[in-house]
Amino acid sequence: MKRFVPLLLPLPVALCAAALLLPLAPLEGPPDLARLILLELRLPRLLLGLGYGAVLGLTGAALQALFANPLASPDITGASSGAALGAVIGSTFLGLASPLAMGASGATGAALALLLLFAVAGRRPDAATLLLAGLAISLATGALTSLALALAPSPFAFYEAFDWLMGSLVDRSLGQAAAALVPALFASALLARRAAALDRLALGEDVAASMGIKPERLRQEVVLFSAIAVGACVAVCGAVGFVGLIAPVIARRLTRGHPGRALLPAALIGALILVAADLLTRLAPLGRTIPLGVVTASIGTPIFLWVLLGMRGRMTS
Amino acid sequence: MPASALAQAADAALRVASLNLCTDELLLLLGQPQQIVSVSHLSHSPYETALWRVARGHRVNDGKLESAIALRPQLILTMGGAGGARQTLARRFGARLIELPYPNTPAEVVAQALQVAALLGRPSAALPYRRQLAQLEATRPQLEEGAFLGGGGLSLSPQALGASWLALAGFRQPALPNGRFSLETLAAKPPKWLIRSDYRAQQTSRGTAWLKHPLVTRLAPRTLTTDGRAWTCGGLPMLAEVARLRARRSAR
Repeated sequence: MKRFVPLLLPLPVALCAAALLLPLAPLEGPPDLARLILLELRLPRLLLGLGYGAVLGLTGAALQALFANPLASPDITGASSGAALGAVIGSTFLGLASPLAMGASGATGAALALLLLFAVAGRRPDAATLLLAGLAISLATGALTSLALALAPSPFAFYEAFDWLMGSLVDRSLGQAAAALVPALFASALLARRAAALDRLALGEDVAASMGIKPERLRQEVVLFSAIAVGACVAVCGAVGFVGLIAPVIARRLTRGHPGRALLPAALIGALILVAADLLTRLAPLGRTIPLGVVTASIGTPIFLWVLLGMRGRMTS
Repeated sequence: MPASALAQAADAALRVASLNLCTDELLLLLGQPQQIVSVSHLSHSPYETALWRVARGHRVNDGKLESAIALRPQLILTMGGAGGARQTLARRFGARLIELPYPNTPAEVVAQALQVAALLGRPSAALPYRRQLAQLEATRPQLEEGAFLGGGGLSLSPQALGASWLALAGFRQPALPNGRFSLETLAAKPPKWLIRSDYRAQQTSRGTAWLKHPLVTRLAPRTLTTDGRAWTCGGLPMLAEVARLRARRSAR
């Protein structure tokens, strides 16, 4: 695999360049206009793609390590849709409409969804329990988000359900990108520092405790940092599924199954997947929109099934 | 008692309900207060119509026949609808249901006002609006490119009623894909004027957040704000709004 790594290096550069330059037509005007479009539209979109994708990959890897389950991810645990619910309730009913305040509401929603998952499924649930409990929380928070939007004071809010539940990076400003990515960066950095502890947790709680890890504290930290990072990004971009599942799965193959060591590669892969998915949405015919979540789900579902089938194979063999 | 006074008394006794925001506007502007038995719930909202204070003096319905019929209206006004069943149902309750078609031009708006005023027995009530439209038509300003802009980049089709009102105000609405601005279009080819709707601008939504993007706010020098509530129906309140837009552009 390592032989291929140098060949893969130009890929991030090519993806970032494509994200900035495509479609080319709007950039062919006067230079000051091209600069405006690049700086005010394409750059925040790219930064959010990279940052949000990295957050999904990183938190997905951390949650998979924490639950000792390759199916745990921000969307399957309900953290993403919980964040959307928190941000919608905060902004439409509590007047917390600034990007930072929405991020805080999103983080609260994500944390509550994760805590609920622990309460329902336990600390290290088997795949079926995790899936069912996560699915129930995701469906419930998704439905409550739609309900909150339907009852929001603005009649337009309901039409934004798609944006909230499928995600979008379009037409975000640099200010919004900063509001999402600065808290996400801090939380992600703190989460990344727990990589070694998460590797030890994979050996079992007792072994980890004997190596100086406090499992309960580690659990709280992973939930808190994941919730802050996911919440801040969802508040600006909506919930995007499957990236947090796919990226860690690929990353763990690169790190030979070490869940903690997979954190940073998962972040990088998540960033690339989301930027690539966002590029694919730009292929929509004029005047039509392909939601970001539709692209990530289309890529992610086969990988999800592959992981699931692999687990079934292991369980039955 | 003179015959005209008798006719006036009979008109005043007419009980009228409106099920639709657009017919609410017609009824509130053309009817006598004692004629109005009910208006739609939207009219009570300051977010939906500038006539909300007057509307709150009347009972509210939810836009369905059932919620108005108990008040025993003799005439029920609404807009759109396929006719048929609702009209038959209304007749069974002794009411006449008038389903006005959606108007396509300012002239059709005023023609509807004349029709409704006649139904209310007050034909002269619509005449000031006809005069106002004639005056605006006679003083049409030179057309300049100017596009309507709402939350999320929502604009108008050049064939829409709103575009006709814009033309009367002196603005030519450009054709846009799906009747919507993208931020890239707004950055690359901003129209000479932006007529920005303030409809529910204080309420949080992704659409209102879109209007705060730097690529939109940098166009403030060419932006004229308009009362977005009048554009929902594009009815009689648009006459005053057109005059206001003309004055605002002249002041720039």
